[in-house]
Amino acid sequence: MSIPVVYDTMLFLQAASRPDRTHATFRAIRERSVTLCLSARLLAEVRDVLTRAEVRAKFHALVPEAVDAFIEDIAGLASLYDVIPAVFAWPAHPDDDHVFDLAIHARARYLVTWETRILNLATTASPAAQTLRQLAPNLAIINPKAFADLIRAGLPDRERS
Amino acid sequence: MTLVIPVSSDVESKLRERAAAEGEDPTEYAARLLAQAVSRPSVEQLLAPFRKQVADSGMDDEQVDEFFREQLDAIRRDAKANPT
Repeated sequence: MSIPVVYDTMLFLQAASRPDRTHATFRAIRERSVTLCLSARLLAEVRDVLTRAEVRAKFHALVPEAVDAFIEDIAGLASLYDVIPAVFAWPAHPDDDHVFDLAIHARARYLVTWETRILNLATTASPAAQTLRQLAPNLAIINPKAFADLIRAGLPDRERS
Repeated sequence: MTLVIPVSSDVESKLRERAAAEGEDPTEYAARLLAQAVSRPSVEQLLAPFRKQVADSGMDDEQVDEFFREQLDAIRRDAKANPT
């Protein structure tokens, strides 16, 4: 398996709507430079947003057939994890717990996100940050642009599992 | 045209299993699946009208992100209010 990575939900929504914003990160999956780790819950979140009535009302061209094809395409490229133990709790942002649980369970090397609160967790000394470092000492949290730069520069061999 | 496509052992065993269930040779079965796949519109083709609509919406990247973030927050709120 190439380098295991977790992308947060917003990256998939960007990939569906404006692929230019996530081009390098998703190309890395297709080129097998990284292995996308996905949970059923994360995939369900992406589907739920893209099929939400408010989204269809704003973007009527997003037809169910396109959403199905997008989800199927992503799932086909990923390592899917159906059952993931809940081991991490971030009281300030519990909605993000499942993304961290996936990263911990899949032993992901990178968690890629645009979310400042998640990026900041990597550098803070909060109890949640300390717990995360204990549960996933090798996990790096990084934004898509920095991750794309890293891919372009060539990920070191020691990164590969 | 003849293609040589490397597949994992897992894919191979599933392919053989399904081909056998359909009473077909694995190669013929794989060719039929491939023909079905390429006759359907691609993901990119299916998403193109949506992507054009987003591009033509007048919203900048931050506004589009904000819209989808709000939808994601709403989904998560709904899930908490109606746990299954």
